[in-house]
Amino acid sequence: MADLAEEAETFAAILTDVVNGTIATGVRFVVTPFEGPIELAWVFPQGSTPAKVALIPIVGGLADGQAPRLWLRTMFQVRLDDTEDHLAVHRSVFGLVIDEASGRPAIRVEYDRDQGNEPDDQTPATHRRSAAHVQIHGSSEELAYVQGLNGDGRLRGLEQFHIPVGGRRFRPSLEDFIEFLWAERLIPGLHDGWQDVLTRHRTNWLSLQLRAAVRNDPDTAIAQLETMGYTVTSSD
Amino acid sequence: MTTAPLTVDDLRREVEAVLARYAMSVDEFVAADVDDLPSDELRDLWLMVKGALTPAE
Repeated sequence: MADLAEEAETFAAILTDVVNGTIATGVRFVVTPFEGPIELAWVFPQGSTPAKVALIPIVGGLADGQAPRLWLRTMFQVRLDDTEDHLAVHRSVFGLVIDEASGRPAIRVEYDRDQGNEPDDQTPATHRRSAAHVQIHGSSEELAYVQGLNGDGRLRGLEQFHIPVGGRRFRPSLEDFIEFLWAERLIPGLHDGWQDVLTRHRTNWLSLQLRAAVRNDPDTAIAQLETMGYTVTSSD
Repeated sequence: MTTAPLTVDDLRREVEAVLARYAMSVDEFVAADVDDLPSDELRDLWLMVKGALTPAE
């Protein structure tokens, strides 16, 4: 059985490395355990509480002393998975914030485990939204037109749409989000060496997700390995 | 680094302080659908406290 605090500390160290190696300086992610009826913890930047998360100033690409104009907001609620052997992110948010005082976001990636549709659901669409989704703050004339066409009397802004992004196994990571911000020229730049940081941690993330996918569906994994010429036998 | 743990009472007090600006009770908040909340601040808060707080019996 894994230790939640220990696993969460490892995760916090990864997040610290990712943000300080790409967009930020001197940020430290910490673990705050919950002392309550269920075992969970929060992982967020130092100085945060679940009710008020500290924003991360984006300084990558800025000259020394130049004030940040964009911020990253990110936080995670973590638990042990059903086997109690692995850390599982239950809920996460990462977003690009354009106003420090109000925390107004431009784009958000949310994950709400067990509270939304997953791509492998046996009964799809039991929830209104996908567990992992992107919300873009803004408006779309085209989507307004489509809503009107379908007789939707209450027009929704773009941020009201939950655009699905892969489910629990293949949802975007923080590394993907940071690279997206840079690739789409939404942040000034990244620190030197960012590629190594993102590649290293994303490789580990993908490996962990693949292992979890195999645990969830070993028959498919065995069938694929056998197709590739491997013989798979159980030690049981 | 691991900070001091947050108790249920601590968490409830923190959430109450935020909700005071919205004239909403903790029980109403945790029972709400996240998509019906009026701000991103509340949306983030809801996601982070979901599971930790439940409506009072």
